[in-house]
Amino acid sequence: MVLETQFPSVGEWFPSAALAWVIRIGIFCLIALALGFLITGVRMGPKRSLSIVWNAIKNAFADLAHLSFKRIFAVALLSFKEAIRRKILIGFVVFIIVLLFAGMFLDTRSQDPARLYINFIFWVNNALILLLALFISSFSIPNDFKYKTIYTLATKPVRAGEIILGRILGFTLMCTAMLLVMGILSYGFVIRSVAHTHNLTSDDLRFVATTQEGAQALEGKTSTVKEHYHSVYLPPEFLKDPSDKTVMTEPTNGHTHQITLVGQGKDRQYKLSGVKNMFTARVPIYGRLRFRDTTNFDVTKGINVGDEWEYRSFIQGNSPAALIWRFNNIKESSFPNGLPVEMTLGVFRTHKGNIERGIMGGLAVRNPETGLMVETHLFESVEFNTKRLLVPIKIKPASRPQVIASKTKLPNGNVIYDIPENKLNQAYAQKAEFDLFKDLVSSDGSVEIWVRCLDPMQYFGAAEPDLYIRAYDAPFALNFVKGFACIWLEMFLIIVYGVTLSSLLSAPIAILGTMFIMITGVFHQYVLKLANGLTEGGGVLESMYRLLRQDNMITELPDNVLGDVISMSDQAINYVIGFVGCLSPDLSLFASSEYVASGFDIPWNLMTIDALTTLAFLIPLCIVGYLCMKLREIAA
Amino acid sequence: MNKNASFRRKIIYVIILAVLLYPMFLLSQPASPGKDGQAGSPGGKLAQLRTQYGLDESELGDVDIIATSFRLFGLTPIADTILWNAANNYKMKKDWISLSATLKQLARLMPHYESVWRFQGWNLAYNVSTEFDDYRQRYHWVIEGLKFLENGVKMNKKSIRLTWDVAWHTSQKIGKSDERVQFRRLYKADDDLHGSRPVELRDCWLVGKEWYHKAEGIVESGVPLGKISEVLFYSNAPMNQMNYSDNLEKDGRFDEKVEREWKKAQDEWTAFGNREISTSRGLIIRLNDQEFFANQEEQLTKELEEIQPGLREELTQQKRLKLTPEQAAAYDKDWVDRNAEEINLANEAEEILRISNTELAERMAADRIEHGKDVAAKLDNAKEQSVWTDRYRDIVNFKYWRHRGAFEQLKDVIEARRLLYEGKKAFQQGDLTVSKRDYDQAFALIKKSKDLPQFAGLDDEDAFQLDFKAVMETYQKILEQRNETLGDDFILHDLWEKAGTL
Repeated sequence: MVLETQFPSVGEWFPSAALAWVIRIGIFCLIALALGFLITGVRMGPKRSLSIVWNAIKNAFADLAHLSFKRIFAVALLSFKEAIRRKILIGFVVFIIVLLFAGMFLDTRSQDPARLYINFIFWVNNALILLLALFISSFSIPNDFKYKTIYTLATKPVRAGEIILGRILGFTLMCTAMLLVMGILSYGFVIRSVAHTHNLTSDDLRFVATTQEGAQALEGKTSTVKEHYHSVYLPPEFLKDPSDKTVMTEPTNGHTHQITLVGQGKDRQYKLSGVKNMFTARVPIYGRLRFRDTTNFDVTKGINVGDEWEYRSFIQGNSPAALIWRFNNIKESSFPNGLPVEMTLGVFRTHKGNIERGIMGGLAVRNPETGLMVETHLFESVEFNTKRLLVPIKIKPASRPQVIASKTKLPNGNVIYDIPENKLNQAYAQKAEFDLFKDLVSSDGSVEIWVRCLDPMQYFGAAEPDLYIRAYDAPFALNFVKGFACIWLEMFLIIVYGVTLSSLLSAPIAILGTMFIMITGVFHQYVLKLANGLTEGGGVLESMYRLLRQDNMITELPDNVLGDVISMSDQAINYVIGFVGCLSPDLSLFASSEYVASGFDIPWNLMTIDALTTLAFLIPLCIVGYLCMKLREIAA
Repeated sequence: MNKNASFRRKIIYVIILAVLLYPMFLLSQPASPGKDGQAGSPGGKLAQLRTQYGLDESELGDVDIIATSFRLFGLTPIADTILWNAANNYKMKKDWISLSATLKQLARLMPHYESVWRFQGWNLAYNVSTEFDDYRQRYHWVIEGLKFLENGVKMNKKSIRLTWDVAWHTSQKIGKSDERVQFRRLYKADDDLHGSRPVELRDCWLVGKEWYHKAEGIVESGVPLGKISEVLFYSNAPMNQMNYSDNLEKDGRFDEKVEREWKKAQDEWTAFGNREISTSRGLIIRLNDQEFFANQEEQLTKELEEIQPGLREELTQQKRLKLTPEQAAAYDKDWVDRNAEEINLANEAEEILRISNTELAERMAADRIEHGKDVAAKLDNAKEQSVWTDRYRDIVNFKYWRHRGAFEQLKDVIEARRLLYEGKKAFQQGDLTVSKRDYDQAFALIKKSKDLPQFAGLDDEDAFQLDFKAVMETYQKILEQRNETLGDDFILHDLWEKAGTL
């Protein structure tokens, strides 16, 4: 799975994020207070303004202290009923229609149908629920004012904050119920859409001799279902005793089927199970990647082989160059059978070489404490496919073991070693068999995995997430739920924005405002790039100037007053964009469908960051909503 | 009263709607395929027009609801831009599954834009396939590109370009890429792709030829070729037959079938040479006619000069008097010694001294003018035909392939090819003696065949020399490993010397 952005752990992320949040909230409060003083000061004089602002703060705290969950729930229930009255359930009809016709535009011949279906279903759910959340939340309070139903509430002892929270809660409950049902239907849709089995008869198989003694195996292929078939190989021991071994078909389109034998002799029948290994939720342990160059020095980047996308860096074959991943906290209790390593390497050939086979590589394990490095596997690369290797507990080296240090050249030319050369003990390598945890994992649980390309003038490339240790598999259904939980967080944020903006603005403007927040949230990274002047082609006016003149993006602006005006205006616009960027959450953080679709567990780490981000926006937005509501009440 | 008027109005509206439904039905009724041998309905006028112009979706089952909805709401350009950008992004990030899915969506949105199918079909078969290291995966993506193009043909049944593209990709990508040995092997074994096609016919060159014929069929049905070069277009199918025959030998077959297929190749090439082709000048030519017109030109030139012998020289002398001294001096000077100004002057002089055939005829004695003009016109026509035919022949290397088709059918040449094949195999197995012997025997047979009078000039052809050069690469390695050198007594020394200049 491609992970262009590495998420920090909550521990790393929280302090800096919390500090930034506190500073921004502080600035926001100061601006609000200053505005309060200014407006009331102009209208009623400075002395009176002090007492008004002070009273407002006092009342706000009093309102906060007297918040009643009973009243909030009553408003929530009202909002729930109101949403149903507004025919929000029409969203279901749209959803069902989309599911009914989905099969028409989803490619059944895809090499990875699970990914296609999951991505599609997450996209549909996301789009539908966000649109629903946008409309019901933005229309509610303006309609209360329009149809005067607000008086029903205002005449009751309900506080402004309770109306805001009640509305948010009510709409959230409504959308949650919808999302829940849509989630269940979606899960059923995905599972049912790809469910199938194949037929396998004796006519599809032929005997092949496997040993000199003449032991025979069967090979062939299954019937074609959903525009694919599977190659089948039944080894002699399985044919002799089917209960002895589990045999699977060869993987095609990202899944396999288990084969069972029923009956003997002429009555023998071959039964294939439903799809296996299609829906997974791998829990990977990622390491830190560095590169060793051809001169034996460790560097942070490898060679660029000319790819436009610089995600992967490459190492030269048949040289000391290596891709090195360092893993921490590897414990024997977690991996009693060895380390299951999975990797997806990029391959770059500078010459045709032997076209009939892949480029050869070697995988070695190194103890960062002692420097002992043992090559465990020699493998043939298969580009864009996941290679699975198990580093066993007892290791017989595939080549001569070594004891080596890692060295790095500092910018001043000095060289530093991870293990001083005089402390390298070559005696560690004098063994015929090594124990993974005793010899190759350091006392603090660190271990390095080295991957080298063995063919001369050929290259291997990788990015950090391309190699990981597969810790275990989480249940797919739980991962699906986690994916929907991320959608729920997004939906919740949109409801909060919708309700907050609608407490001050009219419905169409509130919708536009919330939609604007949604769009800037989805393209948050781009907005920040634009605000910081890092986009190709310059700022808004510069781009517009080029569009009108049909110039390309690298044409210089004119060196005259016009050019200066455009540059300066763009800088001012960028400040505004940067401010708006701060107001919207980074919704790309919530996009988790790729994890589910690629068969990876959504990290709890990421979900916690998402939840905290949501909370971080919820608090100030509720305050803004409360203040706006207070203003509206006075006006009413 | 009001109620009645309103009711009446509604009834009238309903009647008008019902009446309007009939012409709408006539216009837009979809075609339906026949069942159990019975003829289906051609559908309404719109469906018939779709069929007439080869656009698909004339039958109800072909209509793509999503694409149609997008078109209906005018969202196609926006969706296209988003999808096209997404496709570029997926390609850059090597997300092939998403790329493939996006391209299919893109094609659905613009099913009748040839360029979408062509560009992305090429993209899959040529650009995406080469991103993979494993040749099996490369093959998979080549086939994905081919299927993409075939879907394009289904949606644009009268598209010559798309049909031709399927032919080209099938032939060239499978048959001529670096991985051609592996691709051809996989292509033959691809049951999913070929379905019930017999294994003997599962050759990329033959399948490509079928598609070229389909493209020719579209032209025969009246669809104009447009900007496609006619001579190239019609040369493809017979060239595929040549390549098929050639590849049979490369695959190690040297039986009667090879002779038969080369014969067929020659026949098809001859038929191609007899086809009328229009040139950019508007002339209609036949490639086989070049020798005829060259011969006619020679005879008519002689005949024209003999009508009034000496007239051309006389006229030249007269025209020479019109030259300025500078022009005359430049003209008389050896061309290698002329400077830039003198070259211009010499050109001007040549232009003044030029005597066209018509001019010559017009300056003849009165009683010979008519005859002279008649001969001059015929001569001009023959010359023009000869020149243009020759020019168009060069585009497809016509003469070489005509020779080659005949040459390769010779039993001696087939035997020579067998010996070269066996010799190369022996070399790869390290048997230098056998390989040298096989090569020498093959060279002797080639020499004997190429010296036959009907193949005079064959060894002057670049393509023939290149082919020979490729054969010599292995032979030289054999000699090198035997510590021998190529002597002057080498049986194909002349050909080797000619090939060495390439």
